Amino acid sequence: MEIKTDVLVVGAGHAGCEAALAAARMGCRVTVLTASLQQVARMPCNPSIGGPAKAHLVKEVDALGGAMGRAIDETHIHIRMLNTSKGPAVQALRAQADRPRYSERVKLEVVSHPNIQIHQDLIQELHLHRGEIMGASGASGTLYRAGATVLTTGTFLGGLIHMGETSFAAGRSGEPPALALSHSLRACGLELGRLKTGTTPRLHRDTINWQAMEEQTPTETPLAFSEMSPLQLPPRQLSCYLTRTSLATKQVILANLHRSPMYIGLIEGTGPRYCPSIEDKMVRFGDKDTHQIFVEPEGFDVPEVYLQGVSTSLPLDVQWEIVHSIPGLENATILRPGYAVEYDFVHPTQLQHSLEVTRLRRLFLAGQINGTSGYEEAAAQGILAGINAARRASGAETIELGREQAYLGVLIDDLVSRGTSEPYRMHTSRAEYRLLLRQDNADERLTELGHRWGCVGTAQYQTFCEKQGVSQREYERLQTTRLKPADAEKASEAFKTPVKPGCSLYELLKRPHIELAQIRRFEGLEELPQRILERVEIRVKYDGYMKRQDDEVARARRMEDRELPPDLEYTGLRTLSSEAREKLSRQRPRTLGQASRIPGVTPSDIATLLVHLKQARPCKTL
Amino acid sequence: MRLSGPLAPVILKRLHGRARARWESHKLYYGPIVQADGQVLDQGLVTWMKAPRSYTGEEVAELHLHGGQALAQLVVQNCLIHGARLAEPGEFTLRAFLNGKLDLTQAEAVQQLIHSRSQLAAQLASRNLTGYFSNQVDAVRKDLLHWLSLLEAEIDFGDEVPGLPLEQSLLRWGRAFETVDRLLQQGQSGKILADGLRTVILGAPNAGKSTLMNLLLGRSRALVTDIAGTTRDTLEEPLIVAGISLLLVDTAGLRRDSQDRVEQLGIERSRQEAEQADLILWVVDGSQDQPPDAEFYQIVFDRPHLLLLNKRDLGLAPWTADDQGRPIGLPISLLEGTGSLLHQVEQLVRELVGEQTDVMRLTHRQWETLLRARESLQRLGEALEAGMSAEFLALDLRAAVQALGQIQGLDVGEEILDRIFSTFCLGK
Repeated sequence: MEIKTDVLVVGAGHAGCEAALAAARMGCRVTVLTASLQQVARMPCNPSIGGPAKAHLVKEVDALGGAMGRAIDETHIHIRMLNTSKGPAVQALRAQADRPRYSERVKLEVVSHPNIQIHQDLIQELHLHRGEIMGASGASGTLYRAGATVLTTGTFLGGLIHMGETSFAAGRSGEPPALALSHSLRACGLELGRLKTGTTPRLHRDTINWQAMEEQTPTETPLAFSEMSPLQLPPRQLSCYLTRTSLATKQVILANLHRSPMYIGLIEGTGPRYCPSIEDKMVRFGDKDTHQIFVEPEGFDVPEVYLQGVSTSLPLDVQWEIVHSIPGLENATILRPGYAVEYDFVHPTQLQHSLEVTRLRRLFLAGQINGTSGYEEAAAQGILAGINAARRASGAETIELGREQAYLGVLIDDLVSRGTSEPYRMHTSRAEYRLLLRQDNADERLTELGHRWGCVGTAQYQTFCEKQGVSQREYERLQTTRLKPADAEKASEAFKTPVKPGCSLYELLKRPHIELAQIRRFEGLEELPQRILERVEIRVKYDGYMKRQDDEVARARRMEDRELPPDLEYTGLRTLSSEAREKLSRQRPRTLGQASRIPGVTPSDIATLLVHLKQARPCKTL
Repeated sequence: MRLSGPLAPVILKRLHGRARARWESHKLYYGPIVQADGQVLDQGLVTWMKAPRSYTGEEVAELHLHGGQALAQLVVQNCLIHGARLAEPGEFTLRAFLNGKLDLTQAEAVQQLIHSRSQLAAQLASRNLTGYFSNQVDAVRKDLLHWLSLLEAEIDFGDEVPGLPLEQSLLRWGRAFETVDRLLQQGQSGKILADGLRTVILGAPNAGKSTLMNLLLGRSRALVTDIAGTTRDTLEEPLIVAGISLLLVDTAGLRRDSQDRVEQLGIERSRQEAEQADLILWVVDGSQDQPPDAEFYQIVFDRPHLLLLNKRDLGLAPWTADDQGRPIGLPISLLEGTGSLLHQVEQLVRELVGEQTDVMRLTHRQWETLLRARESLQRLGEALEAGMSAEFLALDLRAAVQALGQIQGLDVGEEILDRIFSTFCLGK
């Protein structure tokens, strides 16, 4: 059988779903293949979405019309803002999902989209024709012909699960891996590496002594990821709980290290440094006697409870001992053990910033296959890959995002320019323009673009334009309204700070601890929506800092805008170091800025390139 | 005479008038220097340095000849005939930098060395060549980088990593700020030692500027008359004070209401001179009823200066003293000579030079970048005091680290390269 489609999406996790939905919103016919129809948009690891830098990615996905933000807003059981003592750039939303309801919610959006066909099939082979990927064939014998193909294979690519001394081939607990596809990718000339990630044991909620742990309550003010979600408190939320490992935990783990597949060399993949397994923590931070453990419910009607911080691949009997050594969990029952999974990934230096494979046109990669970790990282790549696959299929130029535009831009540039040797997780410190890339302005940064590309619908675009209009008018009003002598006196009293006559509302709002809502109440004006207040307030209070970052961006642009000719003969530039020559020839960065971020390319090498580019009065033998 | 590039040994063999079976690198060979037609130009030593063991990292040939411009020109012409071309200014150093033989500060030091006007300046420049300055910058930068990593950890892993206590942050801040400030001070001293102090004599017409100039020089250099506005153009003369060379600059008198086009131009030049001055000697007529207009002389207050209350012999007006009756400047009478005046100038010069034991010579680029680093640290200090949270501190800290990295050439932006190589062979 043969199926023809515009965009073929392989995989229906967070990357696959966003890719399919984006291409479908842009009017493409999309075919989605999943190993199991029961397993769409699953959360195989922690049941939460958001946190520093990750919430920013969710906001960006939302600003481009994606599903993740809307879905979690509708299905969370607990939401709160982290880092509230810090400034607006590093505050971050985090929500606990009702795990099954979240997956159902996203699956419904995918399945019910008129442009999307979803099939259960496992890809065996990609079809390569003159440097272009024309489609793929599945285990069912079906041939899929596509204008563009997006691979989002997650941990399924050559997946191998480890639990203590046993290991077996699988994509996720209880699901088959994609083994043939790895061979096909290698046959197409791609270089693959191996990574490892792990998950924690799940406990039965009725066997936990909740009183012995510290309660973490959800928010009491309305919060939402999506600009399209109404800001209102849900009728019901659940708490999370905090406990710590004990000395006994440490002893159990250290006494059983010889049974950990990680430590006896059964696992060859590199694990994430920022989300280490519990055995890694005990070894690497040997001086610390105790580590934090978060106990998180997985839904209103779900018996499983997630144990954040106890990712492990130790044998099951050791896992029981570990759990019972933790205060509050002395009598807990393990419903599902933790495990580690090893999988193949494609070294992302083989990609363009559009997420298209440099040497295989029409093939796009997103998610863990590019070496990342995390639902949010996957979804963000998925939406960009989906947009570009749709553009490629319809004959348009692909697009990309800059480091100053989005965390997504930073993420992709890091992967493509530097590559990764461990599962890549987003952090705010990876973004040099952190103060510009805030969760509150993701729509300002991306929605206009998304609308132009066709992945943002009319309703969302109108909401955005309205918000911008009202905010701008309020901003201008603050600048032009000055306090008369009588009002200044009243204001001094009301805000408990000396206010001179003629002081503008803008200047007043710039002062610490004064809020826009207060000013409007003082003026006797009606309340403005929370999102507008936030936008205007941040713009006024931090404009000095924002301006400085804008200047930095402008300076950096000069390097970013300097293009390197695509046919530049690096091997002919004798003054380049041999490492730089090799890496530049292989990766072929598009701009000098990108070249400067490739590890092994030194400032001297960049100087050489600059000199070469100028060639004002060339020193011929150089 | 130096040749660099793949052709260098080939040309060398043609110029060396003696056939040799083998040439060894880094050896001196004696023999005739010959023209293409076999005519001997000179007898001299030649050497070949095999790449990459040479200054530029390329094949290098050097010729040691008897002096004389005509001879040198003749040999150069012969090199050109054999396929060489003339080097651009600083090109050998540029090549050395591009071939990784020198880092940025070293390359700059070479330039300074070449352009040094005095022995002392040359000594200071050669100090940079050994990396004295880069080592100090590197230490501060590493310190700040460590602090930055702590801040970043606090931002991204706030749950697990506690923030740095304010006292500790202030301690780190103080250490870095002091060092950068000291480096700037040392650089300032180095600049004065090497280049001397541009000392500009400024004041209203007929205040006695030219008389002061003549007195300090000990001879009559500037024209002196009773007519206000006698000096139309600036005059420059060198002078040694306290072992430091001063360049004395006499200027046209400043006044607001001049109608004379030539005098107006002179006044404009005076203002420009004042802007470039390292030291201003501000001469005012202390016997006048009105004090000089402070706003008009704002330029003086922005720089190191000495206020000279001249015409003490005519009796000083009340405004020349403060509330406690102390004079606001140095009362002098140029008719009486320079006694205490010279002493005061000497003292001021010593202050400006500062400790002479640990001075450095900085290039304009290094100086400016170091200033930028200090500005960032200044803002960081303010942000610390205002209790800003970690991500704002990180912004200034990162800027300081970046500036220090640029001094070392670790962070190469286009503008930096533009500026450095505008003095090398790529200048437009």
